[in-house]
Amino acid sequence: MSNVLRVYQDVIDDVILAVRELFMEDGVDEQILQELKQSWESKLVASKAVESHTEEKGIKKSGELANGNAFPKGQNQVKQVVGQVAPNNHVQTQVVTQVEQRMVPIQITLPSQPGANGTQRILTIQVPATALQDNQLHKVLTGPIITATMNLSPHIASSVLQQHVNAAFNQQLAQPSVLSSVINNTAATAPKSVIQNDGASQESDEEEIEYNLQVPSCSKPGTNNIRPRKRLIAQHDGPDDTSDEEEEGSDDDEPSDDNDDDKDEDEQEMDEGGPEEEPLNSEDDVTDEDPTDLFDTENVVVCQYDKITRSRNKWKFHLKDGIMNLNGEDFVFQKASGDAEW
Amino acid sequence: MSYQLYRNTTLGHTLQESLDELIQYGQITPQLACKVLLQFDKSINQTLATRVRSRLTFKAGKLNTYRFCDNVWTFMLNDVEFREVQEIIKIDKVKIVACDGKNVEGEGPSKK
Repeated sequence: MSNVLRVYQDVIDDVILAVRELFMEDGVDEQILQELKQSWESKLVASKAVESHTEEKGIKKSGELANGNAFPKGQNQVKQVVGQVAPNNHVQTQVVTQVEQRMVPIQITLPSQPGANGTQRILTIQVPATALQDNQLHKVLTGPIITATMNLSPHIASSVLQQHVNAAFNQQLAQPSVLSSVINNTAATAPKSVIQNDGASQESDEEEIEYNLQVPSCSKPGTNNIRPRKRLIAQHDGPDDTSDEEEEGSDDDEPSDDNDDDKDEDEQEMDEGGPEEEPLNSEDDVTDEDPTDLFDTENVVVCQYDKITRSRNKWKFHLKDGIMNLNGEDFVFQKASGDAEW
Repeated sequence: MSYQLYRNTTLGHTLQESLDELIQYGQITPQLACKVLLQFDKSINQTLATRVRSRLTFKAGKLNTYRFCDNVWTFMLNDVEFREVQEIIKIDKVKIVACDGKNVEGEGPSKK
């Protein structure tokens, strides 16, 4: 159904062309006209009313069908739509990879100080995942920095290194500098030490990074460190609402499952009906309201009629020039004819 | 003057949203937006009449309601099957709004 997109594109181009003059008369810049066009097109695509996989088809098709294309203009325009849309990140098929920065714990093994204690010092710092991908860690942990930290105790060394890492990737970091919970004791000495228990430390199980430094796979179980995001907030309204007189009156009669004031009033009137019965359907009105459509979209056909006829209860429709939205998808027709019984 | 009927479509709504945004940012005036919409009415009417070629048929299980007011028909159909050459689409509930196709003079209803 990519012809719908083509038709729409035609309309868009036609409108933009025609209003260009109006814009100039009003002294509005051409740039704004372009903005309108792009905004219109991207909203169209975002609405998914026109099949979104036609975009991918457009990309493939323009590669395959270089010639012999009946609507070369249309193809280019489809491609153009994609080209325009992509930078705005409105296309849902293209995934924006700029997600939140993931911190990965990197273990650094410092050689033991000669003459001092013979044990190697192992530090762990949090590094953004992107830094590792770009192999930027080398730039940060340069010789002088390493040398400087060699003389420090492991705790302070790790905090210094962490600060360097953070400073280097400052623009990428959204969170304050992080120390892994391995070095809990440095919380007093290290500035801005916030033990992060979610985010990277959850995901660090998955990533294993080969690097010059030893990288441990994080052995912390993720679940223990998750701070509960949802706190239980005591609810004072609804069943527990004590400020409403009606509610108080009916509390004696009904179980406090009822949240609706209106429902209480109705139930006081009809005590014979069970408390669960919908007062709506107990009336004589025969309208069957079906608010739960399968696809939430009311399927609409907007068109013009050539002829509408009826014979007893048999109706015939002759329609033309219509736009339909069925199940969220758009269709167009030149002519449509149908039957129905009333 | 063309029917404003097609403003209640995906294309129409997206245009109106885009125009509203520009008005909000003060980049265009509401009057200009109105003129754009009038141009949209013209273009869409013209395009549908000339550019579109597809025909389809439909059969409804039930005509739930019908209304004829100000020369506009509004139908609610249930259990409908739309049939084009290749494909069939089954819909539980559909609303058809149709303006007079014979006489396009005068503005149709501007449905929101």
